[in-house]
Amino acid sequence: MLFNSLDFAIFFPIVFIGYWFVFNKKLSLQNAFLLISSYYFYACWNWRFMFLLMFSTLLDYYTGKKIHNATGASQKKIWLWISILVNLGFLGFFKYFNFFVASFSDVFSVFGYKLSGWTLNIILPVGISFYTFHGLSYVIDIYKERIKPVNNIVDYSLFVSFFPLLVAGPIERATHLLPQIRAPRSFDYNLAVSGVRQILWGLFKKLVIADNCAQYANMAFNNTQDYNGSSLALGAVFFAFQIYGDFSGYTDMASGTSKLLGIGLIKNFSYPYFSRDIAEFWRRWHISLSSWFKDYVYIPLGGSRVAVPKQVRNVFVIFLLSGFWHGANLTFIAWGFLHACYFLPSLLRGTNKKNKLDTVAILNFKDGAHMLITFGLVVFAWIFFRAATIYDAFKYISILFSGSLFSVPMFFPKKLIAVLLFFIVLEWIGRKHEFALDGLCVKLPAIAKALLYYILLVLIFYFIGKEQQFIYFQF
Amino acid sequence: MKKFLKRLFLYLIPILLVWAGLEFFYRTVPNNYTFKHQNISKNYDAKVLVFGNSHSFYGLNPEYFCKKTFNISNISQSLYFDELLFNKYTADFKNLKTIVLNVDYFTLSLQDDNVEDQWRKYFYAAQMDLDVPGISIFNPRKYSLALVPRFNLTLESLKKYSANKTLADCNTSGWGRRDGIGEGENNEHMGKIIAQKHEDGSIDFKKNVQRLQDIIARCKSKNIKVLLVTMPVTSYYAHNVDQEKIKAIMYQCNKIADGKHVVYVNLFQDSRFTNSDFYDTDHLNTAGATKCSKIISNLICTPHP
Repeated sequence: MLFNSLDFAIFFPIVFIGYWFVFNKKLSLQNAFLLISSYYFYACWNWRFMFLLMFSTLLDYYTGKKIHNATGASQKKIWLWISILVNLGFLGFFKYFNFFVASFSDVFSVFGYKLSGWTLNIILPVGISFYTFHGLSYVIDIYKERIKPVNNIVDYSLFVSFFPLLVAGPIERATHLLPQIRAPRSFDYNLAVSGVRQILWGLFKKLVIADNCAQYANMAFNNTQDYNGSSLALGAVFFAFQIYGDFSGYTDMASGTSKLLGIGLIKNFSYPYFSRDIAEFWRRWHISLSSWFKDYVYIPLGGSRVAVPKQVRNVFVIFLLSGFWHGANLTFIAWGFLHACYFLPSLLRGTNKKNKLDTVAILNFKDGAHMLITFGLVVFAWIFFRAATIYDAFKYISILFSGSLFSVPMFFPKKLIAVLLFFIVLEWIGRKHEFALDGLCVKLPAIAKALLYYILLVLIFYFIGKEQQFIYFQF
Repeated sequence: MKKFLKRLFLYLIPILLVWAGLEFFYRTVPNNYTFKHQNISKNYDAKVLVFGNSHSFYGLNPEYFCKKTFNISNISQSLYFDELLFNKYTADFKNLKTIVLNVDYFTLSLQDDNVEDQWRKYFYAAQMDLDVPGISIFNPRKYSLALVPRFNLTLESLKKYSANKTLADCNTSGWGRRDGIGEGENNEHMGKIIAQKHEDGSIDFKKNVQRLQDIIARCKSKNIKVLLVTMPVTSYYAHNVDQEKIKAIMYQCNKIADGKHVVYVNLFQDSRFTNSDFYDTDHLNTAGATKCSKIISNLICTPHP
């Protein structure tokens, strides 16, 4: 069930009514109702994998308690490792088994051995990377004594399975979401209005920006040899906007939906393409994942407070892991590697914290140039992310940087480019707020706000293209 | 909460009005589905029925057939819907002697419930009275056609309606007319694009071959002759499709044909057609349709050895 589907348009009002009007008398009933709704939402993808989700939930709930109640440090560690190994074991099996088998097979073939028929026809359970990381953060936080375990299985299950974030995040933290789940909620008009706006903005990003850019990005990446360098450059830029519109659009819809239920989710995107350097980009892009890796991998490894060689190692570890998290393909690892290479100079020069999450007040030449350079680097790395294989990525790059880069592009969708510019302007105006539409609405009178909503709706209906699956569902 | 719901409702009023207007539009304006449905009953005495997709919709004109013919094909009509239509209507065609079935580049490998079928099925169900499996009673699209096509298609339909006062492209015998050559549509570049569009990367013909065989078996039991036709296309298109796949399709059709009840007619790169016979890279224009219809008619009326 996609957020931008008719099914969800029927499902959500039912949940909304049940949640606020039928089960609103008691928190436990409200949570139980949300949990059942979340399981139903998940079962719509594939009901068989619901049992995996339930098992993972029970495992972390149980090991969390065991860690908390353990008397000795070694006992705590054992329970922690049981949780980590089982969780990562499932993730590894469903997501990486075929990749490792194929890689081993390639290595053996170099020595003349042939391993065939070892790969399995494994279906990736939707959202497994997200809910596994939810569960792991909970268990690790208990181990680190940042939180105490929850004593209510419904509350904990809801933390893992809350439907707005179940299949594509943001990756929540127990410290942020659990207190909201356990506290009584009352309807907040302003939060609900912001939620509806955020859903509208998410729909615009997904259906207008992402799905339409996808058509041109697909053309360029699927038939690389048929296009000249300038077309491939455009194709890569379209992909950059596709993935941003797709993923941040999904996050906006998830956040908006959650707000309508009185629950706030952590921020996942903060205008990443307005970043002035790569370090800033990573503070603005998929924030919940990068902060997860920072808190649970980078800092435990020593972060930047160790000797230089170890700093370099730590940077490569988290960027390669981040790439690998996206999927079992060398292209994602190459993407992570590139970002590590981009990031490293600023870390070694100590300039990685220069541009914090404050936004540029007025666009000057220097900031503008830095933004363009950063955007160019990010787009270049996206080529590896999007290409089917490393070979395809290099083929793409070799044509892109040929003499034909300066020829006339073979496609130039004027309407879409106009809409993209409109989108960038709106994002720029609203950049100091959680999402651009919120920022715009603060400044506008009621009639102008209504007009803006309808303009977005007309654009959504007009540009609604060939529906594309959300990219991050595959992760 | 009251204030929120009230405001939300106020914002939704224009959307609900547009939705109601579109529903009225789709329910009242004639289109290929309603038009064919109306005319089927007027043609129950036809001896030949033409099934298939847009290739036969634009390419086979019943006027040039030696026997009374009705063209029941439609744009993007898959074998899946051919079979449903066959099962529903053939009993009503008491004089039916021959059916023509389109087997084109994509026909055999096309998946059920593909992108086109996903919205067209509601029109078949609502406007051609077909009992389409897989449409749940809980599916709102079953009850509202305005929710079915993408909005840009609806806008195109509205434009078309304002120009022609109808959405139907065909005449009373079911044939769709297209004159001349479409501007910028019949050239090498488009040939490549359309060939790619038709490429699903599959050579799994099992399901659709079974479907063909089921139709043929029913035809045999009723003594109805089957003509499997691979429609002509331009050289622009033909050069850009997977040559191995087209060979596999032809092999499959030849295997099914027995020369008696089932005849296979391969016009894919037939030398009698030139690129000027086509409106675009894979659809015949009026002149091409005349030529093609006469060829097929000849095959129907000339007894086979």
